[in-house]
Amino acid sequence: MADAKPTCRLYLQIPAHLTAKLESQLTQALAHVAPACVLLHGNGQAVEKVPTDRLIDLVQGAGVACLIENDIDVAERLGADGVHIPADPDLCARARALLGESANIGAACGLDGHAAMQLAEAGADYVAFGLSDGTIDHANQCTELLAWWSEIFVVPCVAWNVESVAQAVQFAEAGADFIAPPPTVWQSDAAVALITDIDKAIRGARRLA
Amino acid sequence: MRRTLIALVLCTLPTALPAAAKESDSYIAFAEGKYLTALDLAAKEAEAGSKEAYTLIGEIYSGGLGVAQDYAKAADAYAKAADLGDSNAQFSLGLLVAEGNGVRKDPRIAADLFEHAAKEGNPAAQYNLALFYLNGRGRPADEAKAAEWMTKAAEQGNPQAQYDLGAFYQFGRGVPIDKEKAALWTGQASDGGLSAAQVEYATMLFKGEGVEKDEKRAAQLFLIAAEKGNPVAQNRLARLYANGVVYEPNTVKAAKWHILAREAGVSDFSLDIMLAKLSKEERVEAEREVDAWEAGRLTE
Repeated sequence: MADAKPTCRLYLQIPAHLTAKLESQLTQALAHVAPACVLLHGNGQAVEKVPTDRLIDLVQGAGVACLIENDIDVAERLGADGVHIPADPDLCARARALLGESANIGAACGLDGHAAMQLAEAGADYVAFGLSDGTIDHANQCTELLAWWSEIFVVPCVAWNVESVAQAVQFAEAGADFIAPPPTVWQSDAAVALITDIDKAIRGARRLA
Repeated sequence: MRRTLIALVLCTLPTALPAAAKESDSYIAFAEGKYLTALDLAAKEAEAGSKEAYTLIGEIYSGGLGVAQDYAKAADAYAKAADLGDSNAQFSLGLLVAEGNGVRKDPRIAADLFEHAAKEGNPAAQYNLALFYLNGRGRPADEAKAAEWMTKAAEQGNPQAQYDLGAFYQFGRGVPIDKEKAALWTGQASDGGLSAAQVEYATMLFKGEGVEKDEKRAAQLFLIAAEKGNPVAQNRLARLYANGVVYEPNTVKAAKWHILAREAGVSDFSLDIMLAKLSKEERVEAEREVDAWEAGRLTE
């Protein structure tokens, strides 16, 4: 029996504060890759404070799901496809109640496998592993978590804030279902090229059984 | 699906060669694929004053059939036939002028040529003239006139024109919004086998928009269009299988159609998540079905 082809996909994050540069980068990126979704990131600010209509239209207009970081009410009001929330089962339940069955609800679990289990139990559609200030130690820990999770649990896992092609491949081989470069990826002028390279690399990656 | 209103692509509808001309020796040779013989015969018939023969010469040169493709020679032959009043030639010359193939590009003259042929009842010319009015190309933009010519082309049974006219009624372009008429024309285009129309009509049937709700018929149309390779239809079919709507829930079939749609660029995060949840066995089975479909569309 042939091995199943890997289905690892790209998951994009982008600051919700849309600048002309960001808009042009995102448009280019969407022309080169078809990410599973795009998460609008508040960068510590509430997404609500930012005019996001145009950005949502841009993403959904390209036929890509658009998620909002943290703010369930904003996601509901703007007709987003889902939310990415902190690992809190109550929050997850509230999001489900407000956004409905078809919404995509994901939880940021850091490096906490126990929290991920709780969130999967609470009905999250995916769990995300990784930190915002990843070091090599963390990367190894993250690889172990992804491998452990994908072996045992059905709920998909996302490798969070993945900054390089090599790291993306490492996580994809470990069993990540989605690879999410950080929202800061766009600060580089070579962002589109990097994203395209990561996409190509994870599609070719083989899951190590 | 977001239906976009007609990207302006010059659309060459198959030119029906005139029935009377089919009797001639040159057309018989042409129909048999003997293009060089047809070209010789047509040259003689053209000298004797046959406008259809000039048109045929134009077809042979513009198609590069048995000869090197030569738009200038094609345009020259079409122009002679057009002067003699052949509407197929007027239309074909219009296409060359619109694109600037073999002649200087001139949208206004192209529109004039389309209009001549359209008034003679040439459906391809009517369709393209409608697009010119819609986009203000070679004519001042005039949605009402676009709708008028689109209606004439649609009434002659062309699926692309029927589909576009359906969009006119759906969005109220050149005509008042009329969901029933939108569904009617889109349904006709769907019957004509146009995949995009099948997807659009299936969506209308699903929502009961302008037509009586019929989820089963909608699902059938999605399947037909999906099998033909329409990625939006493949995505909708995957959703039906994933959610157990119309069909019994079937994650392998959902995965199969999602993977095919995904490869063709239709993204769906919920189905990606479903795909990630499959067991290894299910995933292998879905991949096998994808390979089989791609290898010759042998399954189903």
